[in-house]
Amino acid sequence: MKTSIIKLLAFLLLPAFVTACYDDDSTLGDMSKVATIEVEEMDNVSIVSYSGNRLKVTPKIDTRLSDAEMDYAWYLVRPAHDTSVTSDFAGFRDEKISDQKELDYEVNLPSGGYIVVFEATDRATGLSAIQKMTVSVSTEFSKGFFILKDMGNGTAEIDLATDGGVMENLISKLTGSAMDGSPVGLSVNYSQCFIDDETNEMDYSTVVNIFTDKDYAAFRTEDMHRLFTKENIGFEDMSAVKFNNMVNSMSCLMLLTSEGIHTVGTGGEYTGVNSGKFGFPVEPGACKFIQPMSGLMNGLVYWNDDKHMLYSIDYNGGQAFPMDYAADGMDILRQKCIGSGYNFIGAGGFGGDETSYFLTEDNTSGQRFLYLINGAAGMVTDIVKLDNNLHISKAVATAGNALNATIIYCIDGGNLYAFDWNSGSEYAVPLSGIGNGEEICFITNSFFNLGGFSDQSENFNNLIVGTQKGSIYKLYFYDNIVGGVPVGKPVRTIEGQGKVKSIRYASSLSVSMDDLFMCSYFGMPMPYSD
Amino acid sequence: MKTYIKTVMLAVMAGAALTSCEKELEEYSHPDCYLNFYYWSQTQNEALTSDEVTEEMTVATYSFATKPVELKRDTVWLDAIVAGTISDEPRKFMLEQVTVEGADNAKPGVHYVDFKDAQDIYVVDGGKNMVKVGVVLLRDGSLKNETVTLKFRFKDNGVFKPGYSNMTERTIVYTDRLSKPANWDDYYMDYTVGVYGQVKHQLMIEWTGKAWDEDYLVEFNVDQAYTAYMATWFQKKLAEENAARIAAGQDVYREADGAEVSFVPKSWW
Repeated sequence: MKTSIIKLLAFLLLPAFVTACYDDDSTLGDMSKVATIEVEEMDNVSIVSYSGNRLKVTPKIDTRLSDAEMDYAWYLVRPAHDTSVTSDFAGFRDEKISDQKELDYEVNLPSGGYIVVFEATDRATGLSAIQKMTVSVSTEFSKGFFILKDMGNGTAEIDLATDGGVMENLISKLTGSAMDGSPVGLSVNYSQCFIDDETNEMDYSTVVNIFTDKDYAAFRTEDMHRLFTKENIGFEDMSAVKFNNMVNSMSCLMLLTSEGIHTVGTGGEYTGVNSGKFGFPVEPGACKFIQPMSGLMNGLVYWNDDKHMLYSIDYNGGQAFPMDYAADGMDILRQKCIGSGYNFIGAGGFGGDETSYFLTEDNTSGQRFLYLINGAAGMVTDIVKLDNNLHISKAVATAGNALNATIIYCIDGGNLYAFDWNSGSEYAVPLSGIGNGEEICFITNSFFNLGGFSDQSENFNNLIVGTQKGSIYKLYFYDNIVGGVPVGKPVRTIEGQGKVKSIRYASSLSVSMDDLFMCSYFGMPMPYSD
Repeated sequence: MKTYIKTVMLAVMAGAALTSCEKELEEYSHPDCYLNFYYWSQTQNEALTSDEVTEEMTVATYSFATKPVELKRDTVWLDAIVAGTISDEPRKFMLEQVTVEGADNAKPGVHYVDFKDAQDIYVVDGGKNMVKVGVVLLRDGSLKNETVTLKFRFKDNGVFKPGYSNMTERTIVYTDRLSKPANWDDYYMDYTVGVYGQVKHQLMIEWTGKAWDEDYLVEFNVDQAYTAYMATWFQKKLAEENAARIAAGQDVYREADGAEVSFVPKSWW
């Protein structure tokens, strides 16, 4: 009995002997001994790369710890762009760019939206706090307004207006001579594929494509290296083909030519890369006028020059079909498209009303017609025979308002008017800041509109009004547009040589397949044709 | 009291006994060396393990039909790897044929160079653990009308033993007729140029001058822009050729089963 009791006691006491071996010496339980660290929010920054510019940031840290008690680190998170098929994104600490408290970093990075992360750590406890900022990196050429000009001598040129000023006549500077032919159009396309002739590897980037009635050229906006000409853009001989426009669709590029619409995949994490060369077209006769429908979900609608009517094409560029509409009161074969525009009311929110329009003119009578397309329905909802007394019926140039009002700007007699297709009425558009005696001859609504979850740091909406005096153009940029009417003076004025035909903005960010997939909710990110 | 102390001491000893000690590992000294065929996965970017190797993967196809007429023999090279020690000296290994029930088995000396006669190439070099196993196929006239099967495995020659059961045998199915390249389905070629057919395959070779064998399909699928272009090119070429044939009073191109040759891609749905 005694032995049993002793054994039982020993058995019961054994855990006490084992577990009572350690005292709790920890001090972290006492929060008054733990220093807190808070890092204030940092401003987002834009910076031009490869120019000796330095990113200098002094973080504001709220802590009782001294610098000697802290470790600091700055990390760079690069945008997802990998020439292999899958990206490898392991976390923000992959690339450390500094271990100092204040960042002083010379930026020599390709264009794109980067995230810079600052981390402050208590050496004693390992407790850290982080704060991040967005750095929008561009090169000398990768962010700005490309301006296509008619030089008046059978050639075309481009100027580039950036925050730093205007670079004139870039094509001559880059290639030795201006482009042959009368300018037709200009496009900036994202994730366009090509074979890098330095590395002989396939890659993709943002490209400015320039079209004249005789020639074509494509330049990578990162460094204005020429990637394509008519000689190497296609697998077939395209020397006799007229190139008109190029647009981004969901995961491909569409090249509009006199042969039709050619398609090639864009580059990206989901799509991989390819040579960027185009094959055979779908349907003949695509001129430059094309617009998305329901943000590309219903494909695109374009003017078929050969058939003199609207056609639709799916967003993969697989098949094209004539749009179904009654052409009452018009001779279809005499219709020529002279303008087109895209309108999305609701931009900045989620969801909106999308309308595209095409403006045609009878090549014999001069009668103009306005075709209105409801993008969500994917159909022509109205064809308006325009009153010949309206300014829109006589306008020498037109452009649609994209994001504020259901209007088409028209230039008639050197003045600017707006035609509202809902009411059918017109009004003069007052403009302040235009020089005395300057006749308005160019109009465009330039915008960059990434929505929802994308980097919106470069979003803008400008009405650009152009005047001409002799061989000199002047462009007035208005950024405060209320109901389609610019309020206040222009925020910028630039001038140069030649006659302006088209303006397209190039962003240092990339427009991804995800961005284009969401267009039906947020509106298109950029204009397609005007 | 004594019992009490004993009990406590037992508990302490038990605790001490449960604590693990680090033991120095012995050097690997297993005398046997094995050979396994080696399979590399492009998608996983690593070698496959024995669990991952399937029966299908062990079969390779070959056709003399896409080779120059003058070529009378060709060597198919397969990768293999040693499991075991590496030797500074070169070591020989051996292969032996395995008969396949119901198949037209290749005959040694007729359809392939007998393994006994090709011993000189069956050597693992000194200092190496990887080896290329060459099987020399012979272009016998009979292959114009038949397809033969050559299944083989590593033979225990006292130097090397066969390794994992599913990694020591390979099969080569070959002919001198056009046959569907082994990687045709890997590249979803039915969805690019339509369902495979021998006449179609022959036309592709004639019209482009390319071999359209396994090697060429790898090259062809590098640039998806080119792949898409050629998919349409073949359709246009066929339409052109068929129109010329009809104008000449001939039938359009057909496969052996009478179906019209078509380059329309197979639908995904």
